[in-house]
Amino acid sequence: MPESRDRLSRPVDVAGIFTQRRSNSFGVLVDEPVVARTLIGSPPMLQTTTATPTTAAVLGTPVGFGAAREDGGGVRRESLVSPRAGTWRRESTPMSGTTRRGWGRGRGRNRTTQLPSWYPRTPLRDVTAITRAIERRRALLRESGSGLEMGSPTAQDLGVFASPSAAPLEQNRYDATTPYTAVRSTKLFPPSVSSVGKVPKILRGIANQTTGDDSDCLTPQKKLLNSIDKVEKVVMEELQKLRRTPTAKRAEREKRVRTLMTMR
Amino acid sequence: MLVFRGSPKSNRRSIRCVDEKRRDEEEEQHSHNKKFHIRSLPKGETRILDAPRIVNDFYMNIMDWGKNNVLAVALGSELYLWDSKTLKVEKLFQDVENDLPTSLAWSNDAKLLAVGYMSSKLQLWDHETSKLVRSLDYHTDRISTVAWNGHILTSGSQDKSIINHDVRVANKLVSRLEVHKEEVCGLKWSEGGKMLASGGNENLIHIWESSKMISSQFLHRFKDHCAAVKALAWCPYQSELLASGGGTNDGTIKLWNTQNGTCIKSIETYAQICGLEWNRHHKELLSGHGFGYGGLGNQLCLWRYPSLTKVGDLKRHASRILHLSQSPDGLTVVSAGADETLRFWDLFGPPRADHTKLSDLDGLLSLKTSLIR
Repeated sequence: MPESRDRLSRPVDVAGIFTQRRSNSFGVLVDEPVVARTLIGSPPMLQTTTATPTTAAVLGTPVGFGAAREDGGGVRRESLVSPRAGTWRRESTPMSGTTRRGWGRGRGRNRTTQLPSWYPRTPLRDVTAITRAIERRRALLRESGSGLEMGSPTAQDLGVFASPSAAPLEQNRYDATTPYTAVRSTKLFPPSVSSVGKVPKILRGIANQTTGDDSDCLTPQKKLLNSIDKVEKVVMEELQKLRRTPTAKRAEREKRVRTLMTMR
Repeated sequence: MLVFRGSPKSNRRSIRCVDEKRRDEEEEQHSHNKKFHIRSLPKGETRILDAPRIVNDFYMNIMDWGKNNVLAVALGSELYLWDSKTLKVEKLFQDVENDLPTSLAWSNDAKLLAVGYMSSKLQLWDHETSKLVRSLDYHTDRISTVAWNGHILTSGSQDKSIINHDVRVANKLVSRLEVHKEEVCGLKWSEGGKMLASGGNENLIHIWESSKMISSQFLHRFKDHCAAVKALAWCPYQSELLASGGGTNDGTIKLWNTQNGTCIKSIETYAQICGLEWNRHHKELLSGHGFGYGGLGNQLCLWRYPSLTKVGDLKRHASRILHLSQSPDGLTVVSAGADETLRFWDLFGPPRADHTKLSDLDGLLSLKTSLIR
């Protein structure tokens, strides 16, 4: 089954995949192990045979999970042989569906280690503290990073007054934000107290609606809602402050006095 | 005249009361101990060691923890020893021809270390003197797994054969077993050394009796797995019980009764199983996983025996786990991952105390059986 290229996380039918794989594998068992593996042997043992591609169904994606790395000392002979060369190397290549996309390990790093490139590598050195620190930092970044990602496209939506053509990241997020943004655009200007009072209720209603969606949508949305609430509060406070200043009060008194005088 | 004794009936009643109370107390103690076994797994590893250049290959067995508390691990073409008591690291050797060690095993008394290579050579190193003692060249291809049974060293190779060497005499080949159709990935001798389990890349497991090995006749052949069988482990509290784990395409842990040749139990883990370790202190089995479906790979899973229900899992490795080993005291487990780390887990403890005996303090504090009313 070809992997879909959108970034939607679909539930994996693990049991189904397994039964499929197992029924396919019987054909492979009968194959003779291809002699091409002797490419890996040490020079005295080298035999001259060519690799013949065997049934690729079992092997899945040819991307070795770190198998293509060259090691420092000797030559990583496994990297020379294409994964399709023989079924005898079944366990060295991950099946499609077993690798995690976007794991982030390979982003900018071609090593399988989590340690930074500048860290001196000593065999069997105790790296407990630094690895834990790196994992902690990565976990924090992941949490805050997902919120930011969510924030920017939907802020754009706000600015454009929720035009339906605004580019959302994912289907369900888009559905959740448009009714909210539409409501927001009409209610924000002018900011009469009564209409602004309704907005938090509407926001809460939408937040409750979105609890049905997957959980990683909820956090960035909540964050966005919280930040918008904060902005609203600040704006209202500013307005109140302006109303309460002595000059504003004097101006208001003047106005009242003038109207009374006209009524004399 | 008046014998101050109380009526026999009332006497009996009170004694029965005390007995009941004692029984209740014991049951409570027992159930308390059972609750104690609803264990909370440690949140993470106790120690992480850097393992640069560790080879990312399922078909190797390049880590072993000996009874001398020394963990041997091959990093590239170099072999390092780590003493778990002194925390010292020692480099045993670097192969002059840059040959890759592909399997290693400490002897039962941990005096010798057997190392098998990619080029098919097999070496014996003496730990005390750190010198090469012997070189055995009977295989024609990579030696993927080695196992000791007293003075017998058994090696399994990519040339599909299993060879038993007697290390007391130079160049003594005891027997050669050529039954597997593909590479021999796993070899494990039972605790008493009576039976040998061998797992192959053609998904078969063979059980051999040490007395009948010369005739190349296996005792059992297990065909149930659908992928290479590298993980094999004999149960320490039930002899003749073998646990086996399959590769990526299989992902099952199976328990076998090697007396009858039947599969007792099978569970799905949906991930490649690279190692199995029995918990000697509690009735549990630990499995180490490589490639897995649905995010179930790269982790350690602890299973209760005999129900094989999951106690918990530990997902700390950043990529697949390749090897699993446990300390000689049976309290710590070490996992080697493709993320170039060795992670130590204090999973198997606490060591089992005799829970049928009440401790003195508990006896004093127990309100039910207080002597002073």
